[in-house]
Amino acid sequence: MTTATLPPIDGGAPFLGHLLPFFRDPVAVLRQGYQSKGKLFSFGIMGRRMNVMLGPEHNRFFFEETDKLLSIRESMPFFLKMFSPDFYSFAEMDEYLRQRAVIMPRFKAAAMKQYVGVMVEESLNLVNRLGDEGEFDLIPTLGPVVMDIAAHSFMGKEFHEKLGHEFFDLFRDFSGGMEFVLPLWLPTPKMIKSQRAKKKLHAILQSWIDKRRAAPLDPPDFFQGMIESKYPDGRPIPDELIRHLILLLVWAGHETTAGQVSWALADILQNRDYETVLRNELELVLGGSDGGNLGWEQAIAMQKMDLALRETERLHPVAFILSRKASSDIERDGYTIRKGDFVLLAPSVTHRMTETWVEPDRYNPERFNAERDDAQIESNSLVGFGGGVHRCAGVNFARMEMKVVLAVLLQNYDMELLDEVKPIAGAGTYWPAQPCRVRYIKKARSDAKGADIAEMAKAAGCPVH
Amino acid sequence: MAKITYIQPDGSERTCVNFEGMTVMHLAIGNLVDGIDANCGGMMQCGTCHVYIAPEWADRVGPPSTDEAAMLEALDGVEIRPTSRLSCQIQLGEELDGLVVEIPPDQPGI
Repeated sequence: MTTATLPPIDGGAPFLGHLLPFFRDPVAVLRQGYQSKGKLFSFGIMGRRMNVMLGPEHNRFFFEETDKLLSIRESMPFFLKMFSPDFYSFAEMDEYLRQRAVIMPRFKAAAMKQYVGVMVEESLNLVNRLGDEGEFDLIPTLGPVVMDIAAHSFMGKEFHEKLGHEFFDLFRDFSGGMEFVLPLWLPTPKMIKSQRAKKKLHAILQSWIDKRRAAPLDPPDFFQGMIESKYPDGRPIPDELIRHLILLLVWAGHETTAGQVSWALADILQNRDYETVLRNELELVLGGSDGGNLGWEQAIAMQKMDLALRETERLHPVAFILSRKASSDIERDGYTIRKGDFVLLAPSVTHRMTETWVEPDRYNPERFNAERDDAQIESNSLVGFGGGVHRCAGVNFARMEMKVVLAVLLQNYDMELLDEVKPIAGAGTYWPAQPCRVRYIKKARSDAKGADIAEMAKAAGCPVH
Repeated sequence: MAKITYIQPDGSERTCVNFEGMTVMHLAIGNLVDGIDANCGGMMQCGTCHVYIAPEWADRVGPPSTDEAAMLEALDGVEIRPTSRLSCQIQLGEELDGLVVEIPPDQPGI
């Protein structure tokens, strides 16, 4: 057996290793690794070895070996602090499976139908708030909408009256607990804030659970369903678990989608040719409406928007690294990864490798158009939502939601970017840095009616309808 | 790219294209292919993503792992064939371009 480690990146301080550069700009460290060492390389952070794997083949290995040679549970210690040791992927396997069985059915693509109305309603609320013209900053404006959609979908309509945007701020603090680099016992201000926000959020959620138990909603929404749901063996789910589950759903859905949809709009506004393609598609599907007629069928029919969202996922994956821990020694291409080492995928770098992509830095959604002969659609190449058994459970929800928010904005406004768009610094979720302002003005809408999508689809023999 | 064709019990077909990090199960779910439920989300715990691999593809896809075979054996009220697989356990790659799977008439109830 070989003992060579994956080629280490040059530089790095004693013991600290690449901590400081990684803390400042993690993607730059990963890119440097790729440029100087290739698809497999490693670097150190405070004595821990980080092994990075790039490209479709290694992505596939990483996905296939998760829960086998690679452990997901031990790779995200911050998760334990934000939630609980008995929760989700930190729980014992049996308990994890019981919990997952409660969550998964709610995110099947077909189950999305019931959420589209909520997504449209909250997007139109944004249009109401924005009015006819003005300026908005991407993240502080779209972030709360994404939170509204998640909160409305998972905690019921009444969250509006009770909390408004205090919730958004509490969640931002809570999210600060996502710490990849520093030790978790370190009482940093953001760690203390996160723990304080967690306590508050739990207290608020418990009071809502108590209310719903006293006066159940009929017909039940998602929240009511969750409160009344049982494990496969018939036991009721404890309240603490319901609180963790709801927090996880709103947190996971918000933290990532807020960034991704902001990038998507910024990308569209920087690529006017494709904006025209999208506007033409919207005109065909929705006519001159404000988006109020957008339903499940219309969303499915927005295929150009699908391509645009995939291109943004490629260029700006908000989950820019995925991490696992080696559960035993692993041999890969003549190198050894030691048990206990971290193994990382880096969508941020993998998505721009010249081996996989033509003109990787160019925004070109049509590269994903499977009907084109020159489509760039190698398996395991686009991995913004992860892959394998632990692929993001909310991917269908997220894509639907982004489609709706973007469609409603484009139907109502002409927009232009006022600031240069660049990624936020530091090792958090990869959001566009603030300020990133958009100037908007209500656009003239045509009187065209939207296409009869169901009829069109039937004529084309589409089996979804 | 890998194009996967799903055949329903009534003979109707759907072909879907994978370029993400998906399994045969994820591709079906993402494209609203009927008959694959995947209640447990791909953890080999429910058996509700059971498919039959088309005979000409069986060798290339390969047999189930020990755990998967044990799960398949434990399924009630479902016809298990030598080509039976849990679709959540088949990670897609280019070598499976053209793969054909048949969806059984029923998935096990849990």
